Amino acid sequence: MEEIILEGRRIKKNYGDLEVLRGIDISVKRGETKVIIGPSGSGKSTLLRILGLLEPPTEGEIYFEGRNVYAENLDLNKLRAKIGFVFQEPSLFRHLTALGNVKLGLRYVLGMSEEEATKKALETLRMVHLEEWKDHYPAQLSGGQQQRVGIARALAMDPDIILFDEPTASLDIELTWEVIDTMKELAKRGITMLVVTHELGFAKEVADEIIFIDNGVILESGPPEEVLYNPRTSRAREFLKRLLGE
Amino acid sequence: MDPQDLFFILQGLPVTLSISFLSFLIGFLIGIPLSIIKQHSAIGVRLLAEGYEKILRGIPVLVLMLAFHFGLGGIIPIFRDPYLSAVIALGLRSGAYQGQIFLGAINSVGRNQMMAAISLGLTRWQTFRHVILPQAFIVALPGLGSEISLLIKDSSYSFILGVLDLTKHADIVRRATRSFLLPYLTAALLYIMVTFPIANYLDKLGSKFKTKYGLR
Repeated sequence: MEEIILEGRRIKKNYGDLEVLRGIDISVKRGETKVIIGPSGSGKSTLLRILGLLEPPTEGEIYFEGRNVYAENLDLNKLRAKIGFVFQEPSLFRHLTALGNVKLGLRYVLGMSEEEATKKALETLRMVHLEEWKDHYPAQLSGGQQQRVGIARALAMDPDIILFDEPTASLDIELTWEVIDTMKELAKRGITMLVVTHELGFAKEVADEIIFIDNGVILESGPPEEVLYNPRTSRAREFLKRLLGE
Repeated sequence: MDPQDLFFILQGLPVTLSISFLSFLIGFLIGIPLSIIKQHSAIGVRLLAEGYEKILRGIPVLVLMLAFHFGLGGIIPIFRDPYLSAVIALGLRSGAYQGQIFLGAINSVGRNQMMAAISLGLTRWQTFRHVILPQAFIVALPGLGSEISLLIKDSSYSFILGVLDLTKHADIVRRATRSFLLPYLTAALLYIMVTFPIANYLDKLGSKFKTKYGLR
């Protein structure tokens, strides 16, 4: 239970003169659900992409299961297969059906046979309650369904951790629930998750820890009741107030 | 002009079609790598690719054919053949055009899907092969249709090298029958009858898949 799966140490990221991340330490243990909150532009998504090995940090180290990813020159493609990623924007492969989307990584990254991949993909689509939609193309699915297929696509790879980058941010309100419910189910199944979201209900219910990021640094972190109801910093208090519309 | 003459003109069509098809194939084999190079390579290689495009698109294809056949025919054996000179000239230029068509199509697929593929652990090549290319190909279909039409029409230049294509056959009938307009009109009609359905079909096919996949 105590094994740290993914860890970032002193992560900094600059885009030109712009300092997006200014020294972040973060780690996620197996079975944990951590939630990152913070104002837009605070660097949350950048942090997630860096932890997902989709871009390198300017400074700092990433450890995956105890091994220093960049210093040891580990095979990024192999590691990415073990780190699921669910994106904010619609990112399904548009020329493939729901089933085809889930199968692609199984076939070409994990090297499963066609039958194995189909079986596994169907199983996973069942977990997000989209088995009946398996033959639909992304254009024929609602935004919420597309995101759930995206979750299934990540989940099917049996990753050690799944990173969620504001998976409901581009959805209409009434579509967010189905995605949030799916994520809750995963958290309860013990899937290790690191989630950037503004959905505080979700955070309160399933997060083991909430991390508040502002301006590229972690201002607070702790259990939900502490960070959500008893924030120490005024920045966090203001942010939560605005988010709750008080 | 009697039916026999019409039949004779028709006999030029296979040559026209084979020149167009082969040069399209050459263009395809050049165009795809060209579009990849233009996106991913080091600046030097990219400039080379861009130079190729600029030059090939700037030269009239007839000049290219003449230069290959009459200019280089004495040095490079393959250009002694007028048919192959025409095919290669058209193919090289088509490569420049198809490179443009594919580059636009690849860019239309978008970053999100590419990132998603990379996040699954697919290599860059696998991402290109399984995610980008299939969609880019659909987006490119209408452009490829116009390109085929263009090749069919421009293959008519090859008659100047002495290739017995559709235009040359019409020309022969004109000389033999002294009927000046009709042979060319017949050829013109045949060009339209061939180019229009191909371009139209690829256009429709592209639209159909674009709607199905919700592509722009």
